[in-house]
Amino acid sequence: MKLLRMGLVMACLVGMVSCSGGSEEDLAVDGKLPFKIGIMTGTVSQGEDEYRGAERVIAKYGADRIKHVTYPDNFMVEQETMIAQILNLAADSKVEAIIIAQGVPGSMAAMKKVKELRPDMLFILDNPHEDPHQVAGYADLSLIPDDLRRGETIVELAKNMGATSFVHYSFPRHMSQELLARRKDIMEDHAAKLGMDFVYVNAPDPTGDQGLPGAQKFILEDVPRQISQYGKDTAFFSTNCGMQEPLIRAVMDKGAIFPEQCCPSPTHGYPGALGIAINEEQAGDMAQICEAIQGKVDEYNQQGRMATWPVSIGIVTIETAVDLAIKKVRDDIDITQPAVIRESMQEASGVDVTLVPFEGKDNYYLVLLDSIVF
Amino acid sequence: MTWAVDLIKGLGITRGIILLFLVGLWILATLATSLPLTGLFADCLIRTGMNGVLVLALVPAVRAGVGLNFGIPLGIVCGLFGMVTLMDMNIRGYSSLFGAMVLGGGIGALAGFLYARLLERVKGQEMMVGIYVGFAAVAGASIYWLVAPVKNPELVWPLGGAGLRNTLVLADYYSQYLDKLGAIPFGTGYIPTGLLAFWLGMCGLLALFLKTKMGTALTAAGANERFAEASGINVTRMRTIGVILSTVLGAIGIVIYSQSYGFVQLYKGPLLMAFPTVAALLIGGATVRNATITHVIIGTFLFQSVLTTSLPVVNEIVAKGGSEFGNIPEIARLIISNGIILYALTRKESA
Amino acid sequence: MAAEPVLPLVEEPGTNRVKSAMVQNIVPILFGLLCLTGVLAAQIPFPFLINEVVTRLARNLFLVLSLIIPVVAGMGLNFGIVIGAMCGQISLIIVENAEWAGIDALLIAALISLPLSLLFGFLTGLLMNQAKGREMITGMILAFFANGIYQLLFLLMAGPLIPLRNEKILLPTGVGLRNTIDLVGTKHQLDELVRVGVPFMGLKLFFPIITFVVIALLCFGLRWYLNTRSGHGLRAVGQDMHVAEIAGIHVNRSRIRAIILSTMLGGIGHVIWLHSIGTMNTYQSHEQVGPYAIAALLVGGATVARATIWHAILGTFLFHTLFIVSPLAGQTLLGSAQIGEYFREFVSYAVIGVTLALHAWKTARA
Repeated sequence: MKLLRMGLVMACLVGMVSCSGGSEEDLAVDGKLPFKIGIMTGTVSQGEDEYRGAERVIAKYGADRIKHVTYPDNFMVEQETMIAQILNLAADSKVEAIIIAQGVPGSMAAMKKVKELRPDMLFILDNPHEDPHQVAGYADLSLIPDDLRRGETIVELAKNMGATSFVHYSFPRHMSQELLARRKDIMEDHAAKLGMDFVYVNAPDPTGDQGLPGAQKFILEDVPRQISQYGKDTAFFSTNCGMQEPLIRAVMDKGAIFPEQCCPSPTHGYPGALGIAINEEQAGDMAQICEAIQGKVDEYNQQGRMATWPVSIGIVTIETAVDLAIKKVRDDIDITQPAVIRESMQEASGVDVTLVPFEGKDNYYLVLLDSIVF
Repeated sequence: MTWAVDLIKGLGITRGIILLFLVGLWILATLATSLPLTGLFADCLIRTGMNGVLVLALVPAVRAGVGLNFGIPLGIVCGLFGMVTLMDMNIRGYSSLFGAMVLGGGIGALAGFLYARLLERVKGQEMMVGIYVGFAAVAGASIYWLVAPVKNPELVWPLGGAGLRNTLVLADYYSQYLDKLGAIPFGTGYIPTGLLAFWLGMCGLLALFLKTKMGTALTAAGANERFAEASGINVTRMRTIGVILSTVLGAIGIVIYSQSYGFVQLYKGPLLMAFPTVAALLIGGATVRNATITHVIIGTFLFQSVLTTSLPVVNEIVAKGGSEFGNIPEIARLIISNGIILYALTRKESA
Repeated sequence: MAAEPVLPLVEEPGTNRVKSAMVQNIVPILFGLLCLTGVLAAQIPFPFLINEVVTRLARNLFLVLSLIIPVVAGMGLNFGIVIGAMCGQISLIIVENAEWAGIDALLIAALISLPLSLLFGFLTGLLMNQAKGREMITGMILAFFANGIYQLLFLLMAGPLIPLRNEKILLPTGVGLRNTIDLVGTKHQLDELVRVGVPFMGLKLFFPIITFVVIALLCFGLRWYLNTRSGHGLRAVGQDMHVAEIAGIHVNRSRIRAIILSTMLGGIGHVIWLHSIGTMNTYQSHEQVGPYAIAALLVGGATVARATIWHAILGTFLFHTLFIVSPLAGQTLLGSAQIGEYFREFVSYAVIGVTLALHAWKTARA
């Protein structure tokens, strides 16, 4: 019996050897780029923006130049799969840069593993979830929405939109992420400065015992409770992507204020929450999508009480990262220079970009765009 | 008042403990917080009705001797398919709601039949197989949501222009139609008469079915296979019927759930739904071998009410202590509510 | 002295040995074929694949092996392993806090985890005995409950009450641990103690020799234990609690012993797993342990009632090979990155359902 099992293992190994020669042939150089770029994103169910961002750069540079893989939906539980996918990208010797969007947990371990085998690999991270001090030690460049400054801008925006109180939904696991925890503190201070009530409310963790449906249902139940206590001029904010749709819906229904999502973009939460119809010609056109949202906001008489960023930060960051990766690998430009990054990013987004380095790090930048109020 | 005494006796010590805990929470809410008790209670009822049919769906499988149907996401996926298909055809209102139940239930019957055939081969390991079948159904359905040939512009991804969105909003279709049907205003909330009536109606129908000749045969097959076989009951057929019923009810259950929730959750939404459902039934006093309609009603109400009530109450109380205690409520809820359930589960049941 | 019940532990060789062997091993054989197909479709360079498979074996085998004892004792899926994993994490937190480094630090971490998992394993065992027949639901709720306690300890008490002072692992406020902790002192210590690099097809293959030695020691230890009197007792309990009771075996005590052993091994296994990954996901790493270890064991040919060391080794090898190749295979076959990802999930879950069905078919044939 054991012999048979041993034999089985051997047969697999032999099988692997005999079929592994195929990957070297397809390297005929003809395209624009003399190398490949690997991109890892989530699936659309995790958030459409990053995935479509990757599709856009594939359309631009060709599927033979951009290798696109995805991390599992429950990436928190399947770190090993995520790591293996990155290694798969690095296994192609033509891939010289890898972009991870978003930098979910496991990114550090994956980068470390790849750099052991291929020390020259360039890594650009979009929105790293892991500890910023530690991530900066592995990734060549990290770009993340400026969560700290957003602590001030969001509260200020809410005030300008007429809010007198500010409700912040989160849960312990998110509050153990440094930037999210500090942003909450900043919001609290800033709200006090502007004379607003700040309310921190615990919601169930979507990865916990009630799952995402339980967390979403809680939001739908809790928003009316908070409004009955603090009035309609209350601004609502949540740190979790999955809660945006019920939150936007509840805020619209009850006439409260919604200054910004966790990940600002017209496509994040709004279309799903408001049932916005997007026909084929409109698909992917930010201006058209914003117009459609405006229509719904008017319908609910919520003008001036709903807002977001005018473009998708997820898509912009991926386009920027690809552009920077090319500049680095092909032209050997120092892409950690703020001026270089800003130029790429403004080209990709078409709007004004504010860039701030994170606490003395020269390869970890916080990004801020202006808001659009519907 | 004798019925109240009987109720407590019937509840047993496990349910008694959880009920006391729940009542304690309500008292605490009234005394120590500004939360409107009526609103909290209404939320509990809504959540109970919302989850009720899904919990009920577990009963036929347990009765037929298949155990707890962890494969309920299979039925859920069928129900989602029914909803999505009718929404894509731009059918709205009650016709859409009941059409989704019929279509989802029909496909659920087919899927349930195949699932039963698989379970027949893995007798003794149905629950473990069920977990993985449920996961596989959710992953397989995810592929379908991505490539589904939907045309309704309210359903497709706004950037990609194809495939179904993660969350579909039911507001213009049949959001809370049953909840609001004959709803009775109750303090800051309302009692979802239609929703509860529908759920209890389903419970009644299943109870009636279990009283029929086929129903008793089903129960007999689950209770003692050899004995049932000896008395001329086709056990395999009964088990198949049990699984099919369970899957069909799962499909109907998710339609009810979604209409009350107001959204349809595709992709990973149904992945872990089997677990709270099973927990509710077990807390109601059911076992792997025996489950009654009473277990469903009590369990759903107790479990969902504890989940609904504990967090806002603890949130309010802790908020008085200042923001340095910010994270305590969710952690306290995890420990207290799961601790109570754990305590209840490990009590030796006295008859 | 009550006699040990005689149990049919060795499969009878049939008349046609090859055919019977095929039937016996139908699950791993089919899985092996699936892996081969995946490897063909994914077109990953071979040395990369080997490196990854070897790393995964070293990383996961200890954990998978730690599941065997409760299976033998008839307790099925052991959720206690999550508790063991938490103990392993606590000991690594202690070591990182003290900034100990090196192989001795890793050893200390493993040693610290032992008394913790002994205690919590004992408590889990007591709980499981109170909930016979409801072990699964109890285990699930227990995991949520334990997660609450764990968050209470390390998110609220670490810092002010629990004397963890190292700024590298604490949040800047000084209260609570960071979301991710880089295991500076212990990472790769065991793997790299003796790490042989073999040049192969233009790349170096790395073999973490000592990790495999440790795993081999565990295999021999398990084998020895299952053949002791205590081990036989566990088997008897696993076959039939009532018969075992009548035969004079302390059923409850045996079950507690099985959970304790599994929890302790799970704790060490998780320390090895984390040290190989290199970063700890403070509040969620422990949740990653159960389902995949169990799936790997099943794929190797184990059943709920019977699991051997060979099942664990073969299963880990096959399961992880499939996990490495299937996303790319799915992508190549179906032409979209995310469909590839769902395809991987579908295959890995569906395969387990089919696997269990095949076991039944096998039993019917044998």
